[in-house]
Amino acid sequence: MIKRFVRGMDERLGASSFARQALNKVFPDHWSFMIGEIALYAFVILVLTGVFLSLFFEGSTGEVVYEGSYEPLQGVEVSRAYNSVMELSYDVRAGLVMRQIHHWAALLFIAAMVVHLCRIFFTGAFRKPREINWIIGVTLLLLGIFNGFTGYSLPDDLLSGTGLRIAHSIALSVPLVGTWTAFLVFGGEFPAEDIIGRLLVVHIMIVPAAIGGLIAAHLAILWRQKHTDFPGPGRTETNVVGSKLWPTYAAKSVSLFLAVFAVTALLGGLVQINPVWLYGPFRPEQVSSPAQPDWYMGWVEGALRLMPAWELRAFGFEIPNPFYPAVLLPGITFLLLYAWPFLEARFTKDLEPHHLLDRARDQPARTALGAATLTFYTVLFFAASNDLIAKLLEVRVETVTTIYRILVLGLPPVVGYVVFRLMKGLLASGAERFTQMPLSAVLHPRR
Amino acid sequence: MSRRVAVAATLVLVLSACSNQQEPATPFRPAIEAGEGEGTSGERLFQRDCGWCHGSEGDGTDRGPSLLDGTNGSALTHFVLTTGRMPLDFPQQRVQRTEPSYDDEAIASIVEYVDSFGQTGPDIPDLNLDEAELQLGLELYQENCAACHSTSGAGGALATGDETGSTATYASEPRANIAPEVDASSPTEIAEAMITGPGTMPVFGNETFSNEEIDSIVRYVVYLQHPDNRGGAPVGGIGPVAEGAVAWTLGLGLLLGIARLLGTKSGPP
Ligand code: HEC
Ligand code: HEC
Repeated sequence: MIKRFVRGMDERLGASSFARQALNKVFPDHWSFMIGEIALYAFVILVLTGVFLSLFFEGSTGEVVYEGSYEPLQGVEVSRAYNSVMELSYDVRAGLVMRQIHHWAALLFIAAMVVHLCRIFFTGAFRKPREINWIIGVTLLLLGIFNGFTGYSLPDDLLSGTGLRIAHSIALSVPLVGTWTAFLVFGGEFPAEDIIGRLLVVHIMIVPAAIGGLIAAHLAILWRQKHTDFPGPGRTETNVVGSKLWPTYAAKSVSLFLAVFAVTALLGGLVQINPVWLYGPFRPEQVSSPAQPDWYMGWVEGALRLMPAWELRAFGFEIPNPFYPAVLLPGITFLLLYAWPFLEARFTKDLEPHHLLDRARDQPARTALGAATLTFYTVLFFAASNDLIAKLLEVRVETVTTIYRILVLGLPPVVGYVVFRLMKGLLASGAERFTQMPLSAVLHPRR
Repeated sequence: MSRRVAVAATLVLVLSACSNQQEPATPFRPAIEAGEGEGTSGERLFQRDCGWCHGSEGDGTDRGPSLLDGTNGSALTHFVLTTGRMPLDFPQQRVQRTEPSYDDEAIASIVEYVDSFGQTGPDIPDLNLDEAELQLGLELYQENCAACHSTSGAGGALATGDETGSTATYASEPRANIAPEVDASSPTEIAEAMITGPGTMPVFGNETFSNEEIDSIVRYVVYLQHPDNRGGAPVGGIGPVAEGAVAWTLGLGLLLGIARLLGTKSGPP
C-alpha cells in the first residue's frame, strides 16, 4: 500500500532520481566545514524559542502596574514590554529558560558566523566562483548583528534603554539626514512611544524572514557550486572527496544539531543572562553604568569610547563626534568586507575560478592582513569594557583608555608583521606544523 | 633596530601604566608610641594611630585632611572605621574597604573622642527598616546610585576627569576613582555613606531625602546583596561582557570541539 503510493508519487514527480542524487551528494569531511552549520542550527533554535517568546511578549511602551512575583517591583508602574518580560521570567512556566536559551543562541549564532567568516577568509574560499555566497554571508552577519541589537532592546529595561539612547545619538550624528532619520525611526523625540512596537516587527518578522531566505540561497548556491576542499591526495579542482549525505554526513550533521541544542540548553538552564529584574525598568532620566552592549556590538562601543572628543568639520558642517566611530567605521568595515573578493582578485590579478582551498601559509599577505584586522577589532572590543578593566586593576579609566588608543593603532601592524614572517617561514621550510618548523625559517625566510 | 625599540617602548608604556599604584615615598610611622596598660580609650588610639596624619586636634596635617569641617561627624568617623578604610598606612594609599582594625568598643570610643573636637557633621543614623519600602528603594536607587554603583550593585570605575576630589591633595597624581561594590556594606554603613558622601561620592543627606526614603534605599541595597535571582549562575553582575566571554569560551569553544570530533582532521590540519 505504502509502496504503491510511493511509486505513484515517483511516476508523477520523478522524485526518486532527485532524491537519490541528493542523498549521494558528497560532503568533504574536514571539521572546519561544519562551523557554518553551527550558525545554521543556532538560528533554528532562535526561531523555535523566539516563537515561544512572541506568544508572551507585548511590544508596547504603555504603562501598567506590575503585579508579578518579583517583590521589589510589585505595584510599580512599568511599560507593558518590561512587564511581559518580567512575567516571562518569573511567572510563565519555562519562560525564563526559553528567554535565556534564546539569548545564548543569539550570542552563539553571531559568534559562529564570525568564526565561519574567518575560515572562509583565511582559506580563500571566497574566490571565484563563490563571491556571491561571500556577499550573502556578509549580509547574514550584518542582519544577525542588527537583529541581535533589536532583540536586546525589546525588554525595555534600563540597560537596553541606555543602548537605545546611544543608538539614537548615533542616528542623530549622521550629517544632514540624521535628525530626520532619528525622528522617523523612533517616531518622535527620544524616548519615543513607537520604538518598541517597531523594533518588534523588525525583530520577529522582517529580519528573520530575510535571514531565512538568505540562508536558503546560501545553501542552494553551495549545493550548486560543489564544495571546496583542501588540496591533498586525490583531491582536484573538479572532484569532492568525503562522505555521502546519506547516511554518513546526515548523521554527523544531526549530531551537530543536537550538540548545538544541548549547549544552548545547558547555558540557558545553568548560566544567567540579561537579568532585567536587576537592571530595572527603563526610565528616561536614569542611566546605569557600567553599561556594555552584547559582545557583537562591543567593537562599535569600544570605538565610541576610544574616539577623542574632536570636533571635526567637513563640507562646512559640524559633524557630531559619534559619527566617525559609530557610522563611518562600521560603514567602512562592511564595505571592505563586501568588496574583499573583488579587491583581492584585483591585487593578485587572479581571475581564475578556484575549488581547492589555500592554507593560511599559502597566502602570507592575506593571512597577515586578516590577522591584523582581527586584532584591530578585538582591541576595540576590549576597549568597550575600559571601565570594568579600570575597576579590576584599580587604575584610572583614562589610563586604560590611553593604553587602548595606543594598542588599537600599534598592535595590528605588529601582529600582522609577526604573522607574515611566520607564514613565510612555514612556507619556506616546508614544515607541516609550527612545531616542526626550524626557528631559522622564521628569522631568515629567504635563506 | 628601530622596530625593536618601538616594541620595547610600547611594552614599557603598558607596564608602567599598569603599575600606576602609589608607593610610599618615605614609610611613615606613628609619632606617639602606645604605652602599655592604657586601655582602649579613644584618645590613646586616636593619638597613636590617627593623629600623625590628622593632627592631634583633628585639624589636619599635610598627610591627612582636617576632621572638623565638611560632613565630618560621628557618622563619617564610624563609617571609615567599621569599613576598615582608616587608618591608612601611608597618605597616598587608596582608601578602600578592608577588615576593620578595631572592635566595636574601640571604634565607639574613637568616634566619641573625635567628636569631642567639635565636629558639626551628622551623627550615626538610626534606621527603621521595618517601615522601609522596597519599591521606593528600587526607584530611588536606580535614580541616584545606579549611575555609579551599577544597577546590580557591582560598582564601577568612574571618570577621574579634572575633578579629582579630595584624593588629589595627598597623592602626587589623580588616582583611580572607583565606586565600590556594595555587597558587604552593613545597613548603617550604607546610610552613613549616603549622609556623609565619602571620597568622591556626593552627599545624599536630609536636604535630599527624608528619613523614610533613606531607609528605603538602605533596604533595597541590602536586598541587592541577596536578590531574588533566577536563571542560574550570575556571571559577576557585570552583564554583557561576562556573558560574551561565556558564550565564546564555554558555548562556541565546546561546539567547535564537538565539530572537530565529528569531522576529520585528514589532510591539512
Ligand atoms: C597615613 C595617614 C592617615 C592615617 C594614619 C589616618 N588617616 Fe584618616 N585620612 C587620611 C587621608 C589621606 C584621608 C583622605 C582620604 C581621601 O578622601 O582620599 C583621610 C580621611 C579620613 C576621614 C574622612 C575625612 C573627610 O573629610 O573625608 C576620616 C573621618 C578619617 N580619615 C579618620 C581617621 C581615623 C579615625 C584614623 C585613625 C584610626 C585615621 N583617619 C588614620 C590619612 C590618614
Ligand atoms: C558619583 C558617583 C556616586 C554616586 C551617585 C553614589 N556613590 Fe556611593 N560611592 C561612590 C564612591 C566613589 C565611593 C567610595 C568612597 C571612598 O571610600 O572613597 C562610594 C561608596 C559607597 C558605599 C560604601 C561601600 C563600601 O565600600 O563599604 C556605599 C554603601 C555607597 N557608596 C552607597 C551609595 C548609595 C546608596 C548611593 C545612592 C543614594 C550612592 N552610593 C551614590 C560613588 C558614588
